[in-house]
Parts: sequence; structure tokens; C-alpha cells
Amino acid sequence: MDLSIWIVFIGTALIGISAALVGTFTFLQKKSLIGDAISHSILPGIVLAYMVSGQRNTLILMVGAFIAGWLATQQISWLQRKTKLKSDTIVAATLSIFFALGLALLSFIQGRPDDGQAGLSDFLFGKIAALNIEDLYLFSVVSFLIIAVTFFRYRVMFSFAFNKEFMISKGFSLRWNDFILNSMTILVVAMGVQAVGVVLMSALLIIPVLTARMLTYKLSYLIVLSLIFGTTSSLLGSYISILGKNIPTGPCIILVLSICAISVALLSKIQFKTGKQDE
Amino acid sequence: MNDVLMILTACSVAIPASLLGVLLVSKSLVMVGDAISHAVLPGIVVAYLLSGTRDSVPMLAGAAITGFLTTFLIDFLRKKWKVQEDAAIGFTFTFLFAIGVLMIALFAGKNSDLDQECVLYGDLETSILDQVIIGEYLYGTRAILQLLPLTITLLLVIFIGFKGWKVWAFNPQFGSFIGIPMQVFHLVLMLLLSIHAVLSFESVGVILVVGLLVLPAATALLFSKTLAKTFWYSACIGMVSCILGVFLGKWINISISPLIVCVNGLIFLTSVFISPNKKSISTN
Repeated sequence: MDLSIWIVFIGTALIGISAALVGTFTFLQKKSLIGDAISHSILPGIVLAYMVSGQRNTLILMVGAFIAGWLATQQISWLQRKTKLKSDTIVAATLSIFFALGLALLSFIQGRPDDGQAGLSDFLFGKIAALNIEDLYLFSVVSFLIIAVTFFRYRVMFSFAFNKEFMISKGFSLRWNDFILNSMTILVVAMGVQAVGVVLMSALLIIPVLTARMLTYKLSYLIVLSLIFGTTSSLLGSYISILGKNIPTGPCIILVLSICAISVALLSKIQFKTGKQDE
Repeated sequence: MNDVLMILTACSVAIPASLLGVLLVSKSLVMVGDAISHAVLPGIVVAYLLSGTRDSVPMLAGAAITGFLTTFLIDFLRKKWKVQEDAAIGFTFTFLFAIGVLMIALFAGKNSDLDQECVLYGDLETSILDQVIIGEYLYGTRAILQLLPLTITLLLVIFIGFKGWKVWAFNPQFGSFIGIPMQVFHLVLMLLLSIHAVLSFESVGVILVVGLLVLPAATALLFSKTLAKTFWYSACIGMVSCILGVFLGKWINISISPLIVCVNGLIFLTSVFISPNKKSISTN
């Protein structure tokens, strides 16, 4: 096979693995919609990084995305401290402000005469075929970082998900835990927008763990299963989108994931029913 | 003249949005609103592909169906599959939105009026070109004439059922205890929301709608103590940001619909900044 196809597959696999891993913990700590907010919010960061640097270098765009995502999480926690609005209102407000800013900046650079901005709107729905070998090195570093952090903080994050008060009374810092989880989410999202785009990135965090959760209650199985679901569906989705000529990658991956989730749900229902009859 | 039309079109989207937003914010259904505005996309596309035009009747039917489908799906996931609410919402709208985008990419041809970007941004500048002229008089753009009935219906629904909405938002247990069907209020709200999402998607796009829904309402909620005042403040903030957004967009020459949401956001953040702290207001 062609080298570029291998690059695409390895890149997708890395995105799928890291997204499923981080998604498990955001799901367990009931922060799935914060992932949605972050994925919308990094758009202005990407566009601004492009405007400042003038080139489409993945590292620079990721730095921009990271800063924007971090600002968005800061704004969310500032609003939570300062107002008594409910948290879903705050998340939606932050999401829409940042996303609107990103679209406004995008339309500003599209109005400029130089046509170097071509391809920046790929970030809205994702285009996996645009990956190159340098991106792959960057992706490996980021995924390695995420896997390492999960490996070392596995117990702490697990305990925070199920008994927050106990962990606080034990002297663990809640803000530090939130900071680590948020940073990991931002990194994954910044990496994944290349493949699935800002609009649908949150699904890549939510759906694998949702599917795995229907099959098991045990955390170690949960992680393994969601890794399997996330990686295989991202691979399959990106393969389909390469086969077709003009199909955006993001929706393809999400559709494969959703079909996977629905069939698993139906199958587990049938199994559950027959199991009950046996008793 | 064009500026006036543009402001009127923007306002006709923003006013019903800010009224609906108040109901969503006070019941903390904002993410459901976001989900519905994403999820009407497959309904729009199917209606467009079947009828071949952007005529409003099939689109409205598509919107109503997908709106109900979304609420039903979220409820089903929560109750039958025992999925926690945030994940259920996240799953439902990304799934439906992905179907919509894929259908646009696969079936809508190159020369059709539907493409991915216009669905995302909307385009206020071109939507005002779609004018309704009868005889020699200009009656307004198509968007205004479509959204006006919705706004009037919404106002009537709010005025007539005002007490019901209050009970629905703040004490639903009491409501169902004295025999008010609370589920009907919920479904009416979702129906109006999906119709609004369809009618406004040409001018502001499906994603920015959530900004118009939540930001004026959240700003209004910072200052007002009663539901009636919140409605008034919210509508006023929606209108002011439309006017500012249109002029700002003309001035720096960028797309207007994101700019309106930005102005809304700026108003929201400034009022959070100057508003009294959480502690000085009594919290429950």
C-alpha cells in the first residue's frame, strides 16, 4: 500500500486510542459536554494561530488550539464562581461565544486577497487525507503523553470519578485533577480536529465509552472495550471516507461509531432478555 | 434600505430565540436546545431532497419530526439504556448531525443551494436578497415573513400559558399534582424550538443558533428577579446586539451572523463582570 495511506491509518488509530482513553474519564466524571464545549472553542485558536504564523503548521495550530481551549475552561470556571447560572447554561454560553469568534475570524481571513487560507475550513468537518509524516510524529508524542498520564494517574482519576469527597478529604487537590483532565481533553481535541473536525469531535470522546458501558461495569474492561470500539471505528470510518471521493471524514467516523453503539445496544438487550429467561 | 432589512431579518431570528432561550435556561434544557438545533439538519436535508425545493412546508414537517425524534431519543437513551444525561445528549445530536452532513456530501449536487458551509454559518447577507414583492410594495424578506408567524405564536403561547410556564419551569411536581399536563408544555417548547431552528438556519446556521438562544437569556437572568422581566430584558438584549452586530459587520466587512453572537457574548461577559457577586445575592 501507499505510504500516505499508512500515515492516515496510523494517525487515525492514534486519535482513536487517545480519544477513547480520555473520553472514559470525562464520561465517568460526568463532563462529556465540557468536551463538546472545548472542541467548539478551539476554533478561534486555530484560526488566530494561522493568522499570526501565516502557515499551516500543525504544531503551531495545536499550540493555538491549546491556548484557546484552556481559556475556554478558565472562562467556564470563572463564570461558575462568579454567577449563579446553571452549569449547562455556562457551558453553552462559552461554547457559542468562542465558536462565533472563530467563525468571524474565519470569514475575516477568507475575505482577504491571499488564498493561503485554503484548507482551514477543513477543520470544521475534518479531512484526514491532509495528514503528513511530521503530523504523525507530533501525534505520537501527544498520544504517548496522554497514555503515560493515564497510566500513572489511573487510580486517582478513577477515585475522583466515584468518590470526590473522599479524595478531597484525603488531601488530593480537586483543581489539580480538573486541570489535568481538562488539559488532556484539550490535547486530544486539538489532535482530533484534523480528522473529525471541531463540530463532531465530542462524539469521538463520548460514543466509544458509551458503547463499552453497555457491556460492562468493570473499569478495566471499560477502558479496553472503549479503546477497541474507538480505534476500529475510526479506522473503518476513515477508510470509507478515503474510498469515496468527496466524503468528509468526521461524519463518516461518527456514523460508524453510532451504528456500532446501536447494534451493541440491541445485541446486549437480546442477550439480557434470554439470560433472564434462563434464571 | 439594505441595512434596515438586514437588521429586521436578524431581529426576526433573534427575538423568538431569546424568548425561547429564557424558557430553556430556567429549566436548564440548554444543551437539549443545542442538540435540537443540530439535529434538525437531517430533517432539512431529507425534506430538501424529497421536495427538490427549499419550500417551507416540507421543511417544517421535517423539522417537527426530527425535533420530536431528538427528544424521544434522548429520553429513550436515559430511561431504557440507563445512559447518563450528558452522554445521551452528546450521542443523539452528533449522530443525527453526522447523518445530515453525510447526506449533504453524498446526495446534494454541486449546484444545489445546500452546502456544508452555508449550513454551518448561515448567510445573512444573501438571505436578505430573497425579497417578497407584491405589486410595487416591498413586504420584507422571506425570512421575516416566515418567522413573524412563529414569533406571534410564541408570544401567544407565552402570554396565554404564562402561569403554566412558571409552574413548568420551577415546580413541575406541583403542576402535575394539580393536574396540569407538564409533558405537553415540554413538547410544545421542543416543537417551537425545532421550527425556529429550521426557519433560521438560512440566516444564522444551525450551530450559532444556540448562542442566540442562551446568551440574551443568561444576560437577562443576571439582572432580573421575575420571569416576566427576564422575557423583556432578553428580547431587548437580543435586538440591541442584532443592531450593533449589523453595523459592526458593515464596518469591518466580515460575516454578520457570527458577529451578532460575538456582540451578544461581549454583552454577557461585561454584565457578568459588573454584576454583583454570587455571594451578595441570597442563594438557596
